Amino acid sequence: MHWLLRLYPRIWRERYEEEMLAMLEDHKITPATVFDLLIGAVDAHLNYRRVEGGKSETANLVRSGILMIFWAFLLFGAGGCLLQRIADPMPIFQQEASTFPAIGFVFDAIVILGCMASVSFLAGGLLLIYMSVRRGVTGKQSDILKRFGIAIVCLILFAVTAVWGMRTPQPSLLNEFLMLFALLFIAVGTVAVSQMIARTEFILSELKWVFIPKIIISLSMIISLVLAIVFIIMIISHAPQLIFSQDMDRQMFSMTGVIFMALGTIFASLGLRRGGIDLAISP
Amino acid sequence: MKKKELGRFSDASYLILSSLSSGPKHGYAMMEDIRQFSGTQLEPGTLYGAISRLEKQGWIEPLPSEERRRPYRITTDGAAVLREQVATLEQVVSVAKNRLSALEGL
Repeated sequence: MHWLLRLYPRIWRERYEEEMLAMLEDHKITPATVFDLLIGAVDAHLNYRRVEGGKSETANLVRSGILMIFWAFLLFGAGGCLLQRIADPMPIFQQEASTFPAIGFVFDAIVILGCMASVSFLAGGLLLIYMSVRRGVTGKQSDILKRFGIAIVCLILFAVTAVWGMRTPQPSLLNEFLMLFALLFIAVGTVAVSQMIARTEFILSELKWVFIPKIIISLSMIISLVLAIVFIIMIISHAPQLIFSQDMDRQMFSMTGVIFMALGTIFASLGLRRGGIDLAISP
Repeated sequence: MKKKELGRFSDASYLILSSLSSGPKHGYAMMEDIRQFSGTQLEPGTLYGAISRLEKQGWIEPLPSEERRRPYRITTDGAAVLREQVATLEQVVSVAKNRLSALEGL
């Protein structure tokens, strides 16, 4: 029964695991006991909280957990983009998908999950930025507002360089420079936003609003990763020409993509553990 | 009374409080006692879900462990809550009895 108790949150186990194990040694284990322990584990994740440092420390843990998940999603997104290379050019991929419909189905599922996670990322991120800026304005915190200003400038510069880059004939040196600058601006902007959020002293009740996007993002990442692995296996067994073509980049991109997705998912799960469900929604 | 905060553990919580009102007990002893006096078999997940809530409310408190088993005892607040609940139940029983008598008299 020890493995079942491992499903409970670490902090809960530190407090009750030993005495519960002692009790289980005397108790007759039935399927009802196993089911009850599973429900108990879910309940403990949702409701049990015991943090010594009080609410402000809890809020800090939740905030850093959220930031970890959001950064993990960026890494995951980069991996997802690399994986998409398999479907390029689309007509050839669609032709293979029509022969093996499961390939197309799994690919569509990954794309849909990615869209869901992106929308959640946007909603949760904008909410955090709004709360952070509001706190910066009311508390007259110049360091927060300064970083918000940097993020806005970077966003404008990104839009300008990206549009300019798209209008420039490809391939050209200018086009490549513009795209490089666009990526640089988005990276600097993201760092500025992260620093802004990291410096904001949120109240725990505010962070609860980001709970749903955080869960959607994490779940989407986990399911997408599993589907991506299934997708690669299906491609290798049914349509290997999509990966093992003369274009060596395909193999590298698809494998690197899955590795990035896996790393992103691991970081997100660490973020969930750090500022977990139990911390985020407990009273 | 913060009954709402007990959620689905409300019934189990009152059974635990009733059990502990006869003296401190550890988890398994509580489970056996509850089964004997109420016929309800509480499973470990439900029992410890309710124990963690009762502890958080300050209605029960842990005592030092005895060979891996930790006994719990009811607190003054816990006893007051149980008393209040018993009074409510007595009122419900009384009303139900009267109404049943009236029904049988028809």
